[in-house]
Amino acid sequence: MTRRKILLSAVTAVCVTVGLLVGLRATGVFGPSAGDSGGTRPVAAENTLGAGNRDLSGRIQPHGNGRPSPATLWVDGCDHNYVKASDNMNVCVPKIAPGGVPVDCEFLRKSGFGALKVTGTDSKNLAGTGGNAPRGTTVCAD
Amino acid sequence: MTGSEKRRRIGRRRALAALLATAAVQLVAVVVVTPESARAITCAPEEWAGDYFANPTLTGAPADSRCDGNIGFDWGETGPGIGGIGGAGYSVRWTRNALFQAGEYSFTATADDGIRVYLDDVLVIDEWRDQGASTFAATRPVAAGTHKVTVEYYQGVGGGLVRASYTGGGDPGPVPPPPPGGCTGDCQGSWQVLPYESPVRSVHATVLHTGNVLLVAGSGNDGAAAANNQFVSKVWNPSTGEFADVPTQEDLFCAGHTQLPDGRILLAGGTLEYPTPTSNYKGLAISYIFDPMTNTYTKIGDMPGGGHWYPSLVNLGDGSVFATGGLNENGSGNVAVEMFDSRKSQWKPFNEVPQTYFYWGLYPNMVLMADGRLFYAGTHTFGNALPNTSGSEIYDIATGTITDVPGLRDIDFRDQGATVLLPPAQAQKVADFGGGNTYSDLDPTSHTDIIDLRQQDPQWTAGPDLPAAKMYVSAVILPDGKVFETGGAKHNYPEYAVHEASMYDPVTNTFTPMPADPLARMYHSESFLLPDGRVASIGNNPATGAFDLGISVYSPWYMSRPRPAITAAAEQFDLGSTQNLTVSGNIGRVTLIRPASVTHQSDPNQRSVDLPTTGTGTNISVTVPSNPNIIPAGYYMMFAQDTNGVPSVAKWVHVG
Ligand SMILES: [Cu+2]
Repeated sequence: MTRRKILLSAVTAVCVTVGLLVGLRATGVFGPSAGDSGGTRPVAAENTLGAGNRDLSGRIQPHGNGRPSPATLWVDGCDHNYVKASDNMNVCVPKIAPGGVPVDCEFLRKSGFGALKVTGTDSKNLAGTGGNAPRGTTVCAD
Repeated sequence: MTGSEKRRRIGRRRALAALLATAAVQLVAVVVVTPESARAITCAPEEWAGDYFANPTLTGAPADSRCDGNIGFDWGETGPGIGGIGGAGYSVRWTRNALFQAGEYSFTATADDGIRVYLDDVLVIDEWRDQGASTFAATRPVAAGTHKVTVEYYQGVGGGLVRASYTGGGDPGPVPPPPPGGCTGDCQGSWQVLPYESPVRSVHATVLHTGNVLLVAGSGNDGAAAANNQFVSKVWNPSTGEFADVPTQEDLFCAGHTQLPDGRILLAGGTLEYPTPTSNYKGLAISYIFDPMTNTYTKIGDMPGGGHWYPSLVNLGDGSVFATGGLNENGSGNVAVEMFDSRKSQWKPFNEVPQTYFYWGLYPNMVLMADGRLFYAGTHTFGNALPNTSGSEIYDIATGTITDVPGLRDIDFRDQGATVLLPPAQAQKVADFGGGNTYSDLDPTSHTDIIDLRQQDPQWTAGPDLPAAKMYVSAVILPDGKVFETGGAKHNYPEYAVHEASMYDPVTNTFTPMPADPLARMYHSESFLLPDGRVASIGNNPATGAFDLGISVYSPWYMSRPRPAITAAAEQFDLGSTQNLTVSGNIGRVTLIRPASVTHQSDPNQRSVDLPTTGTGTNISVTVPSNPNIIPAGYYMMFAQDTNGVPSVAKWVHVG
């Protein structure tokens, strides 16, 4: 009996959440029912599922044998369009600032940031040019 | 999911549990079916002797035999590649005689097609038929001693797959009595900022059985250092203040790490690439073993599941190391489960490790339970709870199954909260302290939640609030049975540092305020117990990219008291053994504390194990637990605590 054919037909588009797995177990989709195995119990679907059949909608979605899975860009919560101007060092310009205050030069200075250099898009409009500052522009210099 | 849907679902689960219980009772009439013994090949005690038959009925002489380290094969349509056996119409019988601890063992097997598992020639799993890959499990009480396990498998046609394993001896033993004595006055202790700075951005700290501390920066969150291949590690001697350089070939920044059973340190993962305007940090699949006796790294094979930037490494009872989480070489979440075979010093092939493709985030805090499963406590460095989950799960490594654990509050405010297996480990209680959300402008939580994993269906209950709401929380088990929580911030900027510390008492379930670390401890900080009983705090990397190299050391109350001492003990403590100790002072409690291997406030392997003690005076005896899931192999710091509650300095012993 081929594994992949059966499982793919049974499980395609099935959500991976544990509750649903439990639900499926209870209704006997996978393996024999508990009664006919004399104390053994089927506990789960075979878990080497093929590509794209587990919907982890929301955060990280594995596909292609479980990897790679897309992650939110800048999972560390930092806006990586900027580096420290003095030495091009990695800094963590916040995507969202504490208390909902705007991420502007005033906030950044108050938080201890020095001058920054735009390495991508001036997403926080720190140059005051509507976010169109060219790469290499120094912002929040004083 | 609505509340009523959830209730219906739980109701179904209960109905299933009742059904399973009935099925288990029916099995009382034991079937004895003696399987053939394996052909005479000699395998190491922990290996399976496998006889491979060129027919699906285990008939006649095997076509060939070999020793298999574990039973975990996805042979697909090509077959095992042994004895001229093709992809269809074959069978295998594996046997092994293994030492079991007393307690419940769970046996699990996945097969396409037929599978049988025997314990001492008694059928445990009997699913001998054509079928798509299906997983079966059964639990049996097992007496301590050597038992024979037999696994029989056949493959008809199509793809062939077989996995079988067991975990158990899961009895955590009786809950030890509370620690003796305790501080009655002048209990605040004190901080000292050391007169010297760390020569290394200490993102990773591991206490070695030499008493030194391995401090690892790699590139240390400095993209320029990474670009110039400047990777730093140092070994710090906290007694002399000396630092020895450790040549570091690759970027171990944001690797995972833990002590191996032989006392060497496994480091896995690291930084492939810093983020750009269009990409995340990217993870390396590299791994190294650090030898504390020579202060050198040795490169070993890559993790087969790809890059891991922020993986968690968890020591298992059988000596292997589980790893998962983080970002892969593309900057995406790595959902692979990796398994390190400590005996062979190599990672198992990807397809020999059960995979669920579940994602627990970056540095997910996972704690080894007494029954060998892993408890994900819902804290991590980054990442929200998966939709429709409680944000906390039990993961059964053998089967790849996941059980939701309800009751954790603030599930999306647990970034860089602390998770600690409370002392003693035998009590199987885990606490979460604080945490925040990196993607939110909201302040972190002061909530603590506690769970008793001894319960049948464990669920979190609310603990007392931390004295301050914070994330980047460190929690350190002390040898007097308390947990010291320190450091943290509301957000990762200097003005948001929270200078607060307190002592959590697992017996009274209360926090008592203590003096705060004079230095800020936010991102990339860690705190850990030194062998003399003090706590070191190191590292601080606020959002501006600055890195504080100051080291502060907290001396708890007992550092200013006359200390008892362990003057003689064996260097090797076997599981289940009784050990004689020569001591000074009236000893009321003896503990083994696993040395820290901590990064980003996360040390999933931190634990303190009580050793039941008999005798008084200068010669006492202690008993080492027999369950390796309570005390995974490695070097431990042994402390003897007197009846006033004052602990000795540590004596190093090797366990397992
Ligand atoms: Cu980090």
